[in-house]
Amino acid sequence: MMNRTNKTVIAIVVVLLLLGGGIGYIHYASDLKGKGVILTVQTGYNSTTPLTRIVSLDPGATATIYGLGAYKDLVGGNCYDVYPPNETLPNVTDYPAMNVEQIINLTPQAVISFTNYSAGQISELLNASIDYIFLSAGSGSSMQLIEKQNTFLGELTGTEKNATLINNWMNASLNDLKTNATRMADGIPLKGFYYLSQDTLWTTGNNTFEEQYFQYSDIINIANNYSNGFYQISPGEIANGSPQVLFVNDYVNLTRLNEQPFVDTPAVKDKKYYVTPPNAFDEPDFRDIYMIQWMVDKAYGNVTIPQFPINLQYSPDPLS
Amino acid sequence: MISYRNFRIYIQGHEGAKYLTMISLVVLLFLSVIFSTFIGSVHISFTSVLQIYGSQIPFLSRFIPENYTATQYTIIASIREPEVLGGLVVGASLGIGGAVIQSIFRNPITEPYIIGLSSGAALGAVMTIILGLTFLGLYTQQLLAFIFAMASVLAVYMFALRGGKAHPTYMLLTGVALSFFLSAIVALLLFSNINLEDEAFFWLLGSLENINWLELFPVTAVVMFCSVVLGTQYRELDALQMGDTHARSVGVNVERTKGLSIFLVALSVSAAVSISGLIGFVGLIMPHVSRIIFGGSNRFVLPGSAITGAIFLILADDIARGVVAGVVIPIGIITGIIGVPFFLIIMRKMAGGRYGT
Repeated sequence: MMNRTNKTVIAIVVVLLLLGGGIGYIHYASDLKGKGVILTVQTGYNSTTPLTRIVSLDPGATATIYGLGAYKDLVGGNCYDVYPPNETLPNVTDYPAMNVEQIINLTPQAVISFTNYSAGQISELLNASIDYIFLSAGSGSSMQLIEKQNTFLGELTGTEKNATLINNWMNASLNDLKTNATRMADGIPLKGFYYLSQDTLWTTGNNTFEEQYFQYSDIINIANNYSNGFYQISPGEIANGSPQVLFVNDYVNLTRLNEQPFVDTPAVKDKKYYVTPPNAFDEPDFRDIYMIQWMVDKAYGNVTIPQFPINLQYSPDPLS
Repeated sequence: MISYRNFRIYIQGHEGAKYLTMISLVVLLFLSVIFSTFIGSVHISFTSVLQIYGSQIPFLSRFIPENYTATQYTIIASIREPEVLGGLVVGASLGIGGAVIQSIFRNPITEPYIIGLSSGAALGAVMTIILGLTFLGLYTQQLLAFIFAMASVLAVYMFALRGGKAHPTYMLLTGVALSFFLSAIVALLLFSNINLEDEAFFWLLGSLENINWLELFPVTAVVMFCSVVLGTQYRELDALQMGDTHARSVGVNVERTKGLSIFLVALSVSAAVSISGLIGFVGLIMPHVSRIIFGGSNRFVLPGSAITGAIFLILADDIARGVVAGVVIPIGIITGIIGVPFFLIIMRKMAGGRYGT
């Protein structure tokens, strides 16, 4: 029942839309001068000019950049940063997203992120000629990846030499920790469990940086039999795993250990459970070496690692 | 003093008053757009914002002083403008979509989401997040949300189609059933990778914060086109409101009108939610607000729903951004919390506790 008037109206609208869309796109495209790019460890940084204005939305990257001695190049931080302490950078996270307005207002050259924000927000950054640097965290992270990210952040900030120093320190420390832990375990490694959240029995399975803690500490993570990444383990699996040592996140109430499935485990019976230091076990970065040292200390006995190679105002050791 | 109810009766009884009210709503919409671009976490002076506006108007720009920085220009032109205009487009799409669906199904508690659209879009978006799909580039999530929304509506329509006719009740029940089915798959996906639950959760509650020009251009074109074609169908939709038999008696091709209208609503709303996430309430309530103001004829209800939907969503977004510093509350929460009391008050004041056209 579409009459001639309706057809005319629709035809005019289509023509106007085509014209408007074309003009709009040309106007939009002409505004895109020097569009930003997405950089990752895989793409690397193909410029010889170090970045001097960086926003870090990744607490691990903030810590690493501080460790590299390039903290002066950060112009914005995030609400999750814990190291260095007493941060004075403006917080540009806007839970649950980033605050693009505040970021653009800081006129950074790049934004470092560990989580994939929405395509719309990333596009807004790129269109404002800001590079988006994506680092991996959570599932898939490993000590090798952390070292690659150190090198990458070193390239970005012109501190490659310090990145090499940190990587060498990490390798030497990991070697010492693994050797000593294996020696003290004497062929009978303990079975361990990381109790991450109080009510939902979250833990860390295969392919996570925390799983690497267990490997270098020569402790068998009972959760890696069941799943990859972070997941909710069942009470039966904990009971079946019979952990001999428990690492309990600092915000878990220890009274939960008096209940099933923990109360009958060897770890609880032998009082071999330890609360993780605050803000530890949270981010994949070079400071994880100290957490592995802490785990070996608790499970088997004291071990030493080489001194951190760079002089910093704030010690990178979370336990210091 | 004139009461709201008398005011409403006056408007509904005078064609000129209806046009005047419509023009007032358009002015209110324009003011909402202008007002909203002043709101943001970075302070930009009133004069600078006006100058930035002026600089974007062809020919006028050469006469406008440029007392603003390039950063301020970027914040207004690339961040706030697409967000506010995104609110306009999404709100209009949901409003007009709701009015059309309510007319077709002759049911005041239906909305565009009832035909499987929202659960389809949710499945597309959540699947992208949980499975980490990127095969369609940076906008994989938006594109899959759109494709799955359209596919769900098509599935509902095809399943409800019997002998060339899609019975409204059968279609509604099919839509509800498919929504439950798809929601179960969404829940299964979330359960399979609980680390990404937060990201998916926030998409499901909707947000205008992430809308940029590149997304907005095609969505605006689709929504405008669909809205205009639906607007030209107002006589057919009015006839359908009276029942299929009546519509046929006045020469309406019932099945073709229903099919075309549902397709256009699905296209328009799918495009809108693909960039905003699922924003509830607007498509359900704004057509009623429009009917309370203008009466039952879709000649005014369709544009009225579009404009009130746009105004409401733009202002809800202002609240979502401004109510707690450092936090952008998902707009779906705001539309529910603010919208329901707002609607109840309007209904009581203007309709005098009675609903009827």
